[in-house]
Formats: sequence, C-alpha cells, structure tokens
Amino acid sequence: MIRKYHIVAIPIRIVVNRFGDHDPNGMMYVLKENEDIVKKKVELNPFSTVDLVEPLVIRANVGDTIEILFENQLPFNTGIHIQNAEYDVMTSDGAFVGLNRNTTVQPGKSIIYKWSVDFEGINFFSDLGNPLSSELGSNVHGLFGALFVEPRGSWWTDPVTGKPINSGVFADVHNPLLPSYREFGWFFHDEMEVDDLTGQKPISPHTLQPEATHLINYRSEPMRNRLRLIQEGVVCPDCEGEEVHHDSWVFGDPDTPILRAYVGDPIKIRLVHGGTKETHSFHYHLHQWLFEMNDSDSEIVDVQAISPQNQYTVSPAYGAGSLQGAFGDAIIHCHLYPHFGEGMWGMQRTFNTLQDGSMCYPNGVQIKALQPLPDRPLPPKPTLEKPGFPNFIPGIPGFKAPRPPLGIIGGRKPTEIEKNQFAPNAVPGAVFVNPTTDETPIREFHVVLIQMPIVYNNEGWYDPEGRLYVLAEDEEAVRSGKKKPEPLVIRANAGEAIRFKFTNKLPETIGGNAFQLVTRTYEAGMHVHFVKFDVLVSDGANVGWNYDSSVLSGETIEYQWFADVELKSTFWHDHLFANEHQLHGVFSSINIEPRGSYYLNPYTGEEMNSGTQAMIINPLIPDFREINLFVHDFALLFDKDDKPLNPPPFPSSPDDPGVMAVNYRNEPIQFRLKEPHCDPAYVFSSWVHGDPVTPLLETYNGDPVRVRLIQGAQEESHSFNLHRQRWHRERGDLDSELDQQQHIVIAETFTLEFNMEGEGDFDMLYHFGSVDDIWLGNWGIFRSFGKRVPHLKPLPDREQLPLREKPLPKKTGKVPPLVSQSEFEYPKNAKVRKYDVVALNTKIEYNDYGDHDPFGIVFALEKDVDAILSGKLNPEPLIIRANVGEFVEIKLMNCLKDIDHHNGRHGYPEVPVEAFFPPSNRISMHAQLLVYDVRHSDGATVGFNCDQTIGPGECITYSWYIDQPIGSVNLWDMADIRNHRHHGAFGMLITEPRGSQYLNHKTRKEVETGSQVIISTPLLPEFREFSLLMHDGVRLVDKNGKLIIDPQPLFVIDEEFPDFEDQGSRGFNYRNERFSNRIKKFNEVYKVFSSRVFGDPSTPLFLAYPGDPVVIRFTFPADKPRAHSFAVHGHIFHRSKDDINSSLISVEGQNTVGSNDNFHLLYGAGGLFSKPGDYMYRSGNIRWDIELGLWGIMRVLRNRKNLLAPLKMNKWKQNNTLNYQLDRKNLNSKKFQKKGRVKITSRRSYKRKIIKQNRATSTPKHQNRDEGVQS
Amino acid sequence: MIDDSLISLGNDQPDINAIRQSVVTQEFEDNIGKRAFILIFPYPFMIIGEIIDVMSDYLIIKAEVTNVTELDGEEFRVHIDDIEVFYIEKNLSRPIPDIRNGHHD
Amino acid sequence: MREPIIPENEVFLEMLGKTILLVTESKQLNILGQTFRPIFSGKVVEVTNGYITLDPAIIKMHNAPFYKFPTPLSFPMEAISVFTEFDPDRRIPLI
Repeated sequence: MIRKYHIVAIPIRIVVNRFGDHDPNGMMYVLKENEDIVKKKVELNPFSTVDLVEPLVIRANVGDTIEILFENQLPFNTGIHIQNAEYDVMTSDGAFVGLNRNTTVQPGKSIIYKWSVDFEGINFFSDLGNPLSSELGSNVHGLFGALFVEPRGSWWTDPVTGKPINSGVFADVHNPLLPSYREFGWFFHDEMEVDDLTGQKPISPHTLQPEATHLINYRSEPMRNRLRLIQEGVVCPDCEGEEVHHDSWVFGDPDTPILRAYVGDPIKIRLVHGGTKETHSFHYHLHQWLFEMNDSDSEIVDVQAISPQNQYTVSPAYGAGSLQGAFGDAIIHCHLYPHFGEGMWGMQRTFNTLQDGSMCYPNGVQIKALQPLPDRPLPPKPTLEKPGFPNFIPGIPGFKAPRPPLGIIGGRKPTEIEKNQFAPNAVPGAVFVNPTTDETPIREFHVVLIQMPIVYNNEGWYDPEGRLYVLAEDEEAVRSGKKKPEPLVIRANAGEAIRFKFTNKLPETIGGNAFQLVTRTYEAGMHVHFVKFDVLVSDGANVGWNYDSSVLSGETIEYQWFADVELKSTFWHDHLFANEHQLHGVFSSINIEPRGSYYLNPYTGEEMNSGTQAMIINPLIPDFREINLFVHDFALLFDKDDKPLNPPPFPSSPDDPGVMAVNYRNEPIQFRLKEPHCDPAYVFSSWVHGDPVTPLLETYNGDPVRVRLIQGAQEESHSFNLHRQRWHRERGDLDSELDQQQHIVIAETFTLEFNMEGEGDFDMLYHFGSVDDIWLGNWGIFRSFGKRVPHLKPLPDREQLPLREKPLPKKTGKVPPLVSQSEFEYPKNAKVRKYDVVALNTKIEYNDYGDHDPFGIVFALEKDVDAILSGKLNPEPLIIRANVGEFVEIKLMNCLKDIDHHNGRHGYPEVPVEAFFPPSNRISMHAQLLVYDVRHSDGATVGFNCDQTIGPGECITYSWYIDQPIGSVNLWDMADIRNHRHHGAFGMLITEPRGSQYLNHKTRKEVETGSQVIISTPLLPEFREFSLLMHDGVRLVDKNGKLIIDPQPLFVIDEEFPDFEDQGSRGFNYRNERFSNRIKKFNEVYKVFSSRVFGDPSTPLFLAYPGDPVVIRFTFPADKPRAHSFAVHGHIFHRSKDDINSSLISVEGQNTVGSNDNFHLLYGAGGLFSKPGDYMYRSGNIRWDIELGLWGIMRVLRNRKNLLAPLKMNKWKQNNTLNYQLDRKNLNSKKFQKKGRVKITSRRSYKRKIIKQNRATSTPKHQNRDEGVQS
Repeated sequence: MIDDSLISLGNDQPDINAIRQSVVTQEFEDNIGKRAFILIFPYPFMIIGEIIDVMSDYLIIKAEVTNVTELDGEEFRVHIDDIEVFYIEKNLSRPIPDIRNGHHD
Repeated sequence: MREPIIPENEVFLEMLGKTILLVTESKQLNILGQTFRPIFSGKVVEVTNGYITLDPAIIKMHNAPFYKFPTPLSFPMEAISVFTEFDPDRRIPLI
C-alpha cells in the first residue's frame, strides 16, 4: 500500500506550558492539512499551549511504501532524514552527503521522498539540512518527528473521539489479529531555547538564577513555575516545592503528556529521543517491560537509557496497571533529577471507571472521554458510591494530596467512599489492589531514614549531611560507627510479599553551604521499582491525583511490595525531595533472589538481614556471591579542611557539582602518587598504597558471582568496566552478547553474572571508565584466591579448598616487581599470532586543515614506526585481528619520550578537582573480553598483582586467547589514564571467524592492520570490515599551534560553559572533519557534508560495491563520561549481533568508554535495494559531535573501480545489482506469472506435476529471479 | 478406525504419537480448499491462506498473508508436525480476518 | 462421524467443556511481528485424537494477557507441553 503525506517544515512559536514558557523560534514538521489551523491557533493563543503543536507522528503499516511531499517554509535548507526505513540514498536521504545529490530543500521549495518499511516500530526522522549544534540549528527548536510502523492490517483512531486520524502523537491502534493497543509517542527533547512569558531566560525562584528547560513532546512542566505559585500564596502555602511538584491536587494536571488508559489496556509507548545532547533515563512507575520487545527471553527493565536520535518501544507487561491491575497515576520521567526538576515528566493515568466526558476531576476540569478499546471489556460506569479514580480520594484542590488510608500509624480513618473502593483483601500499604493471597509468604522490615556525616575516603573527603536508609535494628550501630555506612541492601525471595514499616527520621532542612541553599525536606518515603504494588498508597511519591504516600519527620508508614518473580536488584529511593537529598546517599536496593534462597554474611557465615555483599545459598541452583555496587555522582563532599570539592557556580545549581563515589566511597587517584617519582602507573597498586577504600569483592577461583550494578544518583552517565570476567548482557538470554562493560544511568540496574575464572591468587580492576570517574576514585578491586584463607567463608556447595599456608600480601610502599617473563606454554598445534607493537610519541594529524595533536601517543606495529616518525604515515589507531581459536602474543616495546604539554597540571580538557598529576613514561596494553591470565597479561598493575607496565626502552609480552567470536575489542593503556588515553593510547583487536584471512581492500594482499579490510573465510561469505574507534576528550591545536578549546559552536560566541564531560575534541580513528574548517557562512550549512563542494572528509572513507556484506566494528576507547549515539544512514542491523530476535536498528546509543559493538549491515552495502551512493555514518549527538567532525562516509560504488577489489563469490554482477531496484511487489508478481502453477486435483497428479516442473526448470530459484528482473 | 499401519511393529501398542499426527494431517486433508491460519516457530511464523493439498506430512498452503509481506502469495509446503497452533475456517461465521487491504470490520 | 477418543487421549477428553491453561513447546510465537510466549487459556470445545480446540482462545501476550483471538484455535496434541484446568480470569506472571 502506498501512503502519501504532505509535510511542511514551518517556523512556529512553541509554548511549552500554561505559564507561557516558550521557544519564540520554534520549528516543526506538520501535515499540510493542519498547517493553516496550527498557524491560526498559535496566532490566537500566543501564551498558551496549542494541541496541534506537537512533534509530527505519521503512521504506516509493515510492508507499506510511504511517499512524502516535503515542503520547506523555513529560511534555510531543510530536509527529512529517516532512520530504519529503506530508501534510495540518492533521492530520499534528506541530506546532502558526499557525492550524492542534494536532497535537502531550499526555502519555499519542495521534494518527494520515498520510504518503505518492513518491520514494526519507530522510524525517527529529523532535519539534516541544518545540523548546527547551537540555537542556530533546527533540531534544538523541534524539527523532528517520527513515522510509527504498525503491524500489517492495522488502522488507528483518536482515543477521545474514536475517529480515524492522519497524524498525532497518541492513537489507539487496531488490528484484526492482534489486541488493540494505546500508542503514545513520547519524545524527549533537550537544549531547546525556552524563554519565559516576558521573553527572558527563565529564572528559578529558588536560586534566582537562570535555568534550563527539558521537554517531552514540546511540553515542559518545570518546578520553577509551580514553586512561584506556592511562594505567592496562590496554592498550598505550607508546601516547600519539590514534594508537590507532581501533585495535581495542588496545581491541577501538568501540560506535559498524560497517557490515559483503562486498567489492563495494552500499551505501546514509542520512546524517541529527538534532542541533541543528553543521554536520558526514561522511567515509568509501576510498570516493567521486555528490553527487546520481540524476544521473550529478554531482560525485564523499568528504566531505559536513551541517547540522542535513539528510540525504543516500551510495551509494559500486563498492560496499564501491570499484573496487579493497579489504577491511579504512574509518573513517567527522566530520572536525571535536574531534568526531572526542569520539566521532563508526565504520567500514565489508569482509570477504573468508564470516562465518557461527563465526569470532572476534583478541581472541576472535565475528564475528556476515553474510548474503550473495542476488544476489551467495558469498564464499569462511575456511581455515587464508587465514583472511580480519582474521585474517591478525599483531597482538596489547591492543597497537598491527602495521606493514604490504613498505612500511616496514628493516621486518619478512611471515608465511606474510600472503603467502597477497597480491595477485598486490603491491608495497610496495599489498599486498593493487593496481588497477594493468604498463602503468600511475608517478609517484614522496619526501615528508617537518617542523617549523619559520611566519610568517603582516607583523605577525609566527607559529606556532613549524609542521608541513608538503615534497618531500624542497625540504626544505633551505624550512628555510633560500629557499622560502616553503606547503601542499604535487603533481600527477599521470589513469590514473597515484603511489608515495611518506614520511619522518617530526617531533620526538616538540608543545605546552607556552597552546594545547596537551605531547603526544607520535611517528608520522605520509599519509592520502589519492579515489584508489584498499589500505586495509590505505596508509590512512596506524590503524583497526580494519587495520595501522598510519604510521611513527615517522626512519622511511620506501612508499604507492601509483592515480588512476583525473581528479579535482579531492585532500586528504591525517596521520591519527595530526591533532587535535594538523593545525592547525599538516599538510595537502596532490594534484591529479589530465587525462591528458597537464604543469605549468609561472607565473612562470618551467619544469616544476615542486610548488606551490600552476601553469599546466596539455594538448594537447587549453585550458591553464589553477590555484591551490590551503587555508582553515584553529584556527591556533595568537602575535603578534610571543609573546602567544598568542585562546588557549583552558585548554591543549588544543577551544573555538575561535587564528586563521584561507589557505595559512599571513592579513591581519587591524585592521592595515589608516591614520592619521589609520583608515577601514575602505580595508582591501582596495593603494594604501593594498600587496598582502596572502595568495595572489595573477595572470592575463591571458580565461585559464581552476581554483581548487582545500580546507579543511585544523580545525573551523569557512567560506564562500568571489569577486567577479565565476562557476562551475558541479558542474564536470562544466552543468545545475548558477552559483555565486559555496561553503560548505566541513574535508576538502571543490571545483574552481571559470571564464574570467577583464573588460577592462583589474582586481583582484577573494576572501574567506571571515563577519565572523570577514575580520577575521582570510581574504581576498585575484585580479589580471588586459589586457596582457602581464614577470613573468607567458602560457598557451602563448593568443594573444600586446601588451606593457604603463605601469609596474605601486605602494602610495602614499594613498586611491585615486574611480572616474570618466562616463555608462555601453549597447547600442541596451537596457532599463535604474534604482533610486535611499539608505543611512541608522534604528531597525529586529525584532518587536512592542520588540526593536530602534537603530543599524540600511539600503538603501532614495529614495521610502521619509521614511516610514522618520518612523517610518511599519519598514524591510525592500531587495529589488529586474530581468529577464534588462536592465541595472540603482543610484544610491546616502550619508545615514549616522556613529553607532554604539561609538567604536572594537565588543564584542558579538565577533570573535576584538578590536581598535580604528571604524565607517566610507562606504558601497557590491556585487552577487553579476551581470555588470559590476569597475573601476567592484564596490562594493568592492580592490587597485589605484579607490575605489568613497562618503562622507556623496556619490552613486555602479553598472551591472550580468543575463545569466542566476540568481534571488536578495546585495547588501551592502563599506565596513565589521565595523560595517555586521550592522546591516542588505544587500539582495537577484532576476533574473526576461524580460518579467516585479512586482505587489503584494494590489492587483496594479506595485511596485518588497517581499518578497512576484506575478511575471507572458507565457510562464510567474504565480507568487508570497516573499523571505527569513536573517541572524545582530545586535546588538539590548529595549524598555527593554537590550542583548540572544544566545544565551541560555530557562528555564536560562548553559548555556555561546557561541563567537564563535554570538554575536548572528538574523533573517529584520530580524525575529524569539523564544520568550522569547511563552512564560513550560515547559509552554507546544508552543504557541509558534500564532497562535491568540499571534497571527501578526513574521517575514514569506506568503500564497497552494492550488496557486499559489510560488518562495522565499533569501539569507544576514550575518554569522557558523555554518552554518544552512532548512526548509519540507509542501513539497519541487529542490536545484538548474535541474537536474531533483537531489534533492528540503524542507531546505537549509549556509547561510552569501553563500549564495543559489531554492526552486521542487513542485506549488505546499499541496503535491501543494494543502492549505490554515499551513506553517512556519524554521531547522533547534534550538540556537539557532528559539528566537531564526528561524521564520515561509506561509499557504495556504482561501477567497478581499481581502488577497490571485488569480493569473491559475490554472485551479483554489477549490472544486475543496479537493476535490482524494482518494486518488490512487481518482483513477486512476475515470479508468479513465471511459475504459473496449475490447480491440482489429487495428490498423485500434484507429485507428477512437481517432478515435471522441476525437470523443465532446472535452474535454481534465485537465478529465475534475476531473469525475471531483466526480462 | 485407526489405521493398522499406525500400530508399531514388535508390540501391539498403537504408536500414540503417530496417531495424533495423522489425525491432524487428516484434518487438513479433509479441508482442502478452505482457509487456514497457522502458527509455527520457524520463519515466517504465521501463515494465513488456502489449503491446497496435503502430501504425506506436509501441508501445501497458498499464503494470503504471512508476517513477511514479501512472501504473500507464496505456496508453502509446511511440515505439519511443526504446526503449533491452527484454525481452519470451516464455519464462515468465524472467519479468519483478511488483513491485506487495511481496515476490515 | 468423529472417531471415538482412544484411551491414550482421555487425559484431554477430561478437559472437554472446561477452561484450561495451555502451553505449547516453542520458545515464542509471532503474529504480525508481535511475539509472545505460547501461553493460552480458554474453554476446550473440541477434543479429537490429534488436537484440541479452545473457544474462546485467549493468547496470554505479555503486554495483553487477556487478548481474545478472533477465531477459535486448535492445538496439535504433539505440540502441547503443559495444560491444566484454569480460571481464565486469573492473573499470572508471564515474563
């Protein structure tokens, strides 16, 4: 089916809330049929929101062709670039890339784009005619939308009227074979230029400073406006602000999206990141979903990190209200608290009675009709006795929501109307729905929330206002110092109900220092993820028309959670004053363990009620060790002299204040330099400095381990990296990829499960990999013993280990001995692939315009060193390969010359709490994901391991084994994270299929290195391999030797001071193609990617012929915490290369230090239709990556050229390929005409006919197809 | 009556698996010319179409619709033992919806 | 005329007219791109010597656990892994 849409890009004033916050220079896509209406309505309502002003969502069904007539009414070239769809890059890319024709559109002109869609989901589209990062660009102002693709045979209606619709973010989608569902587009959007009613930058009445705005679907409900109403005495005069930010009783409903459904309605939230910069944390209260919607083994999640231009379908299990059928308001928000506070939230409203438009909310606002889904039972009509949510709740508009019935000890009595609504098995904390039965086992805890100073490290860094949950039974021990403060971790088993008494013992205020203004934080609760609960009374929050399920200081409330299934670690925290005090430590976990488990203290062997480390004992599955790691940023610490560490520009500024920690501990590496050499190579060494204060997991070799990884606070992305041990990305899905790194945002939780592999005694580094994290001390050690030690209990089901006789190692203060370099022993007939690698200082030219790193540090093959040093070869990162089943020996030689731009104070790109830290002249090489002995081939000098770094003139050999087809693997130096990595001390190793040869893409001669090669394998098709290392934090100078301070956007001056995480230039393989080198005027921006105008970019130019199998190897070795998206135009690939049930995507988000990925392009180069042309690969972060040069071209050549050898066994002749672009439907019908099957009458005749036909046509099927096309 | 051939050699116990399979096969064979809906675990997962024939334990079905648009119109030979769920439109009051052209009430 | 139900299939015949929960053997099934674990419930309206039929047939999709399929559905006995008498209104964890 062909669907046609006429889309116009228009300038429009976008008002984002009823307070008049607005973008005067908004831009949007709109259907032509709505253009006049929208413009008129906006003209008439300059200070109010207008319904039709929303990101454009159009819909189609799987298998459809979509024809877009696109018209540009903006004063610069724009276009529509779509993801995930098939299209001809020459006519429908919506960009002007390489040697392609220009498919952006001049002002006042139009163009026709054609797309076809083959699978359900989200096809994000946005403008690439003006990809500038600043307010001069189009995307920040809203020029994006999406095509939602529905199952075949679907149609869609308006949820209020039930009438068919052509566009709109919300729709009810119906299908003859599938359940109807409510579809909600949810577009995150950041960095929009939002002014207040008066046209000024909005000011927070709390800080009296300007504030940013974060949006969903062009709407934002920041606290600042609502706070002003409190301060002016309009509403709720005794309230503070944050605790009622989401309270509809006080303010009425927000202008941000409210997703309305009846209990049990199937839901698909189409989650889209239309913004340009931040990686957000999408969290949906009460509901959970499968990470991969189409894989029933997939991990259950309730938080999804999402980077710019990325997308996910969120289809909650059991529909609205989850398993327990809860009704009420479930808030949906970005969990990054500053964003949450600056407006990035909405909610899901689940009704339990029919809404036909005749009812009102308690404040008198009409409840709009909501059409019941046609295949669902009709909800009951509201009655006086049972008016339904929210009208049975005894609140008063203008005042804070009432407290829940039953739960609060000493609280009010329920009203009659409330009682009518009670569940038959109502208990305190599960009043209106209670999924438990009389047989459900019950576990009880009494939790208190307290404040006390917490000391984070031995240097005396401390939080004077540490706040944490503790069990009531431990309160005394924690306060008195007998028990060290750590985030509370409690446990329960699957199938249990967990009942809490929660007592709020916090003081009523916080702050009054360089970090925070004095703020009242007078109430608190326990908001939990994952488990099943009654959202009205046990959400531990104050949302919409729900109750306020928190308590005042000194009060106690009861909650009930039901753990229906085994879960990973389950995050909980306070939801009332999270912005103010979660960063002081208010985060915890309940780990839901397999049924029948009990929990022992690993050091005493006694049963335990809480603790971040435990042995989990189970009669049916192997016992395992468990450690919870909570990573934490915005830790508002002071040093021992009471000096604030990294204070914000003004108190209560959300501008990345404070430091970082793991479980309230950190070990900043600036304090681990030992006089006189102060060599950074030993910062991780326990010989020199003793063990770090961060969590230390101790195991015996072979112990099963589950690491429960959580981010407790507050805004940054983190990247967990562990040396040597590997886990499946999704624990329950053995098809999911093996990982050794995990990106995490606040409120995400992961279970990393592995067996502690290795021999003897060894230490392994875990670290949060960005330079800022490691610098501030987010690293620690996992220690494994070969023999039984007195202090660590063995897991009960493991075989008895022999007792250790030697004493345990202790700090000596001395540099550890170099690892002994005996010959490696290999199995007989083992293939050992050897690489001689040299680490050297060299200038690296990043582009043809003279931008360069004069202090580059690279790994190079020994044979290339002379060419590099003589300037003949501009180095690329070292890219080496080995086949599965092979050993790799790296002989590394250190030729560093001990030079850098500084002698101790690094400066730009900066880290928080900068300090003296001279560059090391030692070097090492660490490999991810491979199998090796940590004691000699880890490439890091960690804990009580020997030294695995080398000094100038020295050599070391590492031996790694390739046991799995992992694909791309990061290699990097571990001798000096601060000074080496961002100068280029990294590389990539790629594991190839057994029997592979690596061939030069032009000559087909065997090669040892290179980013562009042919992989030739006897049993598999030959493929082209394109390798990309994306990196940031680079320190470049221009051709005149002037330092380039990035990010500095084009055509504007000093827009904002960049955070630490954004400082530095970017690169693909030590190259970038900055806009500033190509364009000088704003009106040239649409041409910036054009090779016709500016020549090919300096970034790798990858070449292929149409239909060539292509694998893109991708890693992210360095350096900063900011996460990036990676996009490829016109091609799709599986999110997990090994998992055929994983999503098809064309953008992969959340790439950060340690990310590694493999993109097997479906259908080969040129996509399904094998179209020649230039396909851009790039970052998805418009702010600031693309402008700083993170883009390049994959060129699919039309004709055979000498510069590219063809692949062998590629049966597509070029001519055929070019013709193979016809409509697929034609292709099918032609084939059928050709086949001309005759109606059969009996089985025997059928058989005969088959045989006859086979004789007549002895050619294989695919050849028939070719002929069919040619004829 | 159950076919004698379904009684396995060597003992007089009927081979219950073979009987069950043959009954399913027979059901398709008895309904040649009618529309059927089948779900299988392997690609293309779902087929709606007319039962053309049954050959030993294979169903010949002319696909109206599958999960993969490009395969509409194909004549599939489906191993009947792989069918996990099916419905044959024997009674026109319970039709299998036709989704080929968008909205059908 | 229907064949009489052979003794080996009486285990199914006992369910005739009752509502059951039924699970088939594969990891997941897929209708128009919507995948689900093959968990069904409904009333047994037909038992033959090779398959049984549910009507109504409820597919317990994880995001729509009470989805009533528009037609009855039949299940070859050889593909059935598990069945039990079951209240079709019961809410059970599916993932």
